[in-house]
Amino acid sequence: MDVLQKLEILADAAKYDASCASSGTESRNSLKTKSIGSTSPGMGICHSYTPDGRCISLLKILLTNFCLYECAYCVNRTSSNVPRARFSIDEVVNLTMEFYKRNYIEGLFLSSGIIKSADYTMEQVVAVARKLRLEHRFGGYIHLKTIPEASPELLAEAGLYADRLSINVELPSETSLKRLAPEKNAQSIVRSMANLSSGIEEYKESKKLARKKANKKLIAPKFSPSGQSTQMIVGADTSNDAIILRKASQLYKSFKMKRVYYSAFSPIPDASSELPLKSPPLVREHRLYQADWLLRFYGYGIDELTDVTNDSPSPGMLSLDVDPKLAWAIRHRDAFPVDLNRADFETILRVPGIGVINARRLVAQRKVAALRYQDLSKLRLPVEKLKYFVTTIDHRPKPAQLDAANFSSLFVAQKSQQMNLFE
Amino acid sequence: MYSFSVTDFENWRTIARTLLQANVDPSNVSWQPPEQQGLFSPSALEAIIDPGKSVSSSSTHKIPRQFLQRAKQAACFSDMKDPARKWSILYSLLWRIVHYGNGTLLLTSDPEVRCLDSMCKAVSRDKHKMKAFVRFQQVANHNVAVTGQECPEDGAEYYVAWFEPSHAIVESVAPFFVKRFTGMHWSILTPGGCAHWDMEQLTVTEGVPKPDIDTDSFDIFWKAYYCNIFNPARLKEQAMRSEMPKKYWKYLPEAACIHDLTRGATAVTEQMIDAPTTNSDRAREKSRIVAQFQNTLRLKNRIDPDTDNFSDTPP
Repeated sequence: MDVLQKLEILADAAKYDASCASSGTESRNSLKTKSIGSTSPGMGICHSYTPDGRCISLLKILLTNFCLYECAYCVNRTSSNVPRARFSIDEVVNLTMEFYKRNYIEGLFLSSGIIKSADYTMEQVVAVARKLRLEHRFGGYIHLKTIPEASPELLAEAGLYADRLSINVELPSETSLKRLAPEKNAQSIVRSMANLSSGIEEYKESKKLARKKANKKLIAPKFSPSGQSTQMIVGADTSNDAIILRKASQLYKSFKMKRVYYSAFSPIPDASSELPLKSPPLVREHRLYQADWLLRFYGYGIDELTDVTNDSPSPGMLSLDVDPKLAWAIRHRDAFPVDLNRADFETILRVPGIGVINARRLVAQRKVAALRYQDLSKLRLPVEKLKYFVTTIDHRPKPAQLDAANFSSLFVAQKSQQMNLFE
Repeated sequence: MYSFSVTDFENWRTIARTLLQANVDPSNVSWQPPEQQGLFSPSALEAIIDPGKSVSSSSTHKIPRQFLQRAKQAACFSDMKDPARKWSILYSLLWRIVHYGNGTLLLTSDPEVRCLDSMCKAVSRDKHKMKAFVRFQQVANHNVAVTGQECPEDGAEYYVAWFEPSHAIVESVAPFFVKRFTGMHWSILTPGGCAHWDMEQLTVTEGVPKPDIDTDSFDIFWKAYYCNIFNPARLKEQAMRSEMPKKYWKYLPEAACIHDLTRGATAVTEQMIDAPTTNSDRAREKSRIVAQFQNTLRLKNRIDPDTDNFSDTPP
């Protein structure tokens, strides 16, 4: 089998991992090493987009899609009839370098099916990163998928070369994991995430100390400077959104995850009889990302976002019709309208259609001159949505509108029709 | 009324500084694009200044650095219809900052502040897209000539890219490519200017028309990757188009695949959904090694002492 065929198989096998981030790592360049590659702590670069709207930033491939595990949701599970291939270490190194030199990618995201043993597989993955960093002095981004059962020595070496390490939690409950991924062990996933977390923290702290004492020698060996992330599959088990978000919050809190990715369970070629096949729940996935954002940066609680009313047709779920922030506002109409000239920053942040940046702008601007309705459209805020929820010195929504029983239909009608077209 | 033709940011800065010192109101200045002969050449600037007033530190104004940085960014903006408009907006804002304070820049709904904002945004987006969509092709030695540069002496690889940025950003983006592709000989050719790196030195030369470059044989691998990393069950063409507008497609070899991928997506997805599913014990039944491996792990998972919740506290 030639490299081109292998690439086709092993890219196809890697596409269900949602992460493609290349941002938030240390600033690096090749001026001193006279080699190839740079990273920046700021915005990542997307070098292309596929027609599924996803960015291509990294060469995301599997080292091999041979796998001894039988995870029902996975295209590479043992029982699957998909074609199999295995890259040599040099083949991956070479593809990475050649793609990088043409400015196709920011770096490599390498994962692998489990062959022989956890340590054997992890050693192969680490060998690719080692060769890129030590032989080619490659300065681009490297993300390595970590095998939870691999030895601490291998994890430490992986952390030395990788900008990011990640372990997928896969499913929001241990019961689901046992049922759908019987070879995976929830405890060892948790243990390894904790190990990564303490390694990442240790390195970060040592850098702080070194800066404080102005002594570079105090810096610990590098360890995954861009932190860790994980992925949860949505729609393969019956967990509701509240369970998923609670799990995500725990992960953010316990392990300082940079990101929890939500991946709508997607039909795969040659699927397992264990799982129902249908179109991926893309709108649900989108709502989870929105809720995740609101939990982390807007100070919402999980119970505020998911529908906790007992008589709800879908308890514990986010609304599919409107975004979670608007849904919250519709349920809490008594908190509106908000006076943009007087309300504090946190209150303004809860107005549907006003994000962090614009909330800051409004607060800064009202110090110079009182806010008028016209200012909102000048800031390109969505006034059509906003007008029901805010007052300015020359605008006040009619109370009857907010209190109307059919208030939510103002936002739902058009949108849900559109969604039906795509569902 | 004074009239100036401005070539670049530094040139504008010199003129603006003098005008401020002479207290010239923005409404009394007409800014012209460089090709127009101004009534005053920069060398005649001194004439504006009141000879009785010496240019001392007391008459220099403190300008917030943030404004200068943004002005420098906005100076790259090319406005086809009114190429010198940016200079007059920049001077007017500068004037207002000096006379009415730094708060001027906080007036985010003010037309001039918004114009500065949108110019900066456009330039910064253009720079970002250039970093993303410049595609180097490895060229054979005889093709290096299109860059106007010498072939590397040691016969090293040479990479060339053709790109048409919307704004005058080549000089300000070039250092990014130097830091990233330090160990490589390359040229980025654009109609408004070219950047060349010979592993030692960055050279910027005049713009060129689109050159003829043979396609890189590595395109095939890239296209194969692109086609296979795409998930047809998640087709969202509009999302792709908004991030990767069609005007950039001509630089991207993979763009040739988009049509077929999009057209075939629904059928491929339906096929996947309708296809018969596979018994999950298939591999276990066929191979004793697989069954043994899986049984060992499954047994271990079953007798794990912590069988309660999926706890996040490590044991």
